[in-house]
Amino acid sequence: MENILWNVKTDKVLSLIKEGKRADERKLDEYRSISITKNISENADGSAKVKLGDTEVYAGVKMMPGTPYPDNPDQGTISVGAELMPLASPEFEVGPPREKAIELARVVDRCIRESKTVDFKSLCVREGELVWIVFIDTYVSNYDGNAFDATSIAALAALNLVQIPKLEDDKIVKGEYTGKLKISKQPLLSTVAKIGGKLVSDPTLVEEKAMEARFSCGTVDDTIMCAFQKGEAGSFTVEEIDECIDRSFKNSKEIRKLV
Amino acid sequence: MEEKKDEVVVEHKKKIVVVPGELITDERKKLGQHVFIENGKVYSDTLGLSYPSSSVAYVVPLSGRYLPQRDDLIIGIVERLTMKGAMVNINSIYSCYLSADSVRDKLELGTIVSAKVDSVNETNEADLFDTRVFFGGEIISVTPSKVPRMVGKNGSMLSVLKEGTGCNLLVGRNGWVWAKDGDTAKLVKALRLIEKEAHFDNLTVKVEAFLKGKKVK
Repeated sequence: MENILWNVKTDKVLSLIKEGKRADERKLDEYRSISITKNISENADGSAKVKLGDTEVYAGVKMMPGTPYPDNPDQGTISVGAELMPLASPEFEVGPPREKAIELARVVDRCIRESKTVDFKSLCVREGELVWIVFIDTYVSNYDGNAFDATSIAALAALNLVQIPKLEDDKIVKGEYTGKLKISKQPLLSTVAKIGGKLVSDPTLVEEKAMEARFSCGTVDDTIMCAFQKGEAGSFTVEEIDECIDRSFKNSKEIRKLV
Repeated sequence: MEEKKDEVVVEHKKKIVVVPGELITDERKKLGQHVFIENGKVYSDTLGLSYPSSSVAYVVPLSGRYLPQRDDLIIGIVERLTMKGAMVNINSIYSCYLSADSVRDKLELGTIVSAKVDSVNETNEADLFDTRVFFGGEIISVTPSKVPRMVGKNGSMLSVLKEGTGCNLLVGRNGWVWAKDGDTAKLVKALRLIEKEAHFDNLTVKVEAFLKGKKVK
């Protein structure tokens, strides 16, 4: 189900953006306010809640012992899951994840995995037999656009807090930890939407309804990129992509101070 | 359900916050919205404000979906076209059917209409009459339970808003405000101010000061 009100509001958004303005009076490259609450869950090994404007995302990290992949016997792994809860938006429904949720999980996974922030070799307990698997589960509980950035911030904030549980006879001892998981880099996604031929950072829900194309860029620090994702049917010119990447570096630098 | 809540008397009365299931009164009173009777006593069915000194037992919910009532002036958006008319989203739990014969203008997806509620059945589906089609303008969403404060005593707040922003304005009881021309950005800010401070007295004075650019405490 789609709310007709959003479609009515897109006209206003388009006409404002053509003048270089936005409905909530932000600049075109400005983010909404971000608030991060850390350690929200007792049972998770690391958890965080992020509010990006009205978009709200919960992230929890759980470390579980498991068998390694046959081609990488000395490496642990990560797994990112994303759920768009039905209470977040009338568009989302219960049941197996749809295209949007799968894309969200994959893009956030790619950003964290390709940044090499978690050293997979350090997750190995016994080569070929037992490794740690880091499950990063994220839940979007209120959707007002730009779930990519909010989820990536939440996942990173939760990862930064992860403590490695104690193992005894290959089983987890509840409530006991052996130390913190080493996070060497701080990868973050930053999304730019193209609306009416102009580039707009951190699109809201109505702006997402009006956008032609979307470009997310994952940055590791001030100089290194680690992931890209382009979405929707529209296109970007080479100059626009350069501008998107510049903005990603600039915005992620600010957000990195909060995480 | 016929009893309309008295928007005028509300402002200077003592009000208390009630939770669902809380006793409103054990006296015999006229019943308003969001109350139910059990063993001869009146209880609230929602989280909201109750007015003990009022002659009508009712609760004004703090938030929640709009439930249509007879004679409400509402704003709707055409969301689906059917053979002989259109389904209109009225920001409630159900959409309304609007016959193409009842309006002169052509109905299209996204057309904004205003209408009055003719009747409401037991499942809160509404019939509309007195439909008018609007061209242009934009829709601002507000909390439906705060709408009476946006209209004010005899429309006092409405005239303040119109004067202060220069907008053509229609406030729908269902929490949608249609606005055209004028300073709509300022109007949105004023409406948010009313929403935030809806439970305070002398709101019209405050909003008037806000629209004139004075600092609001």
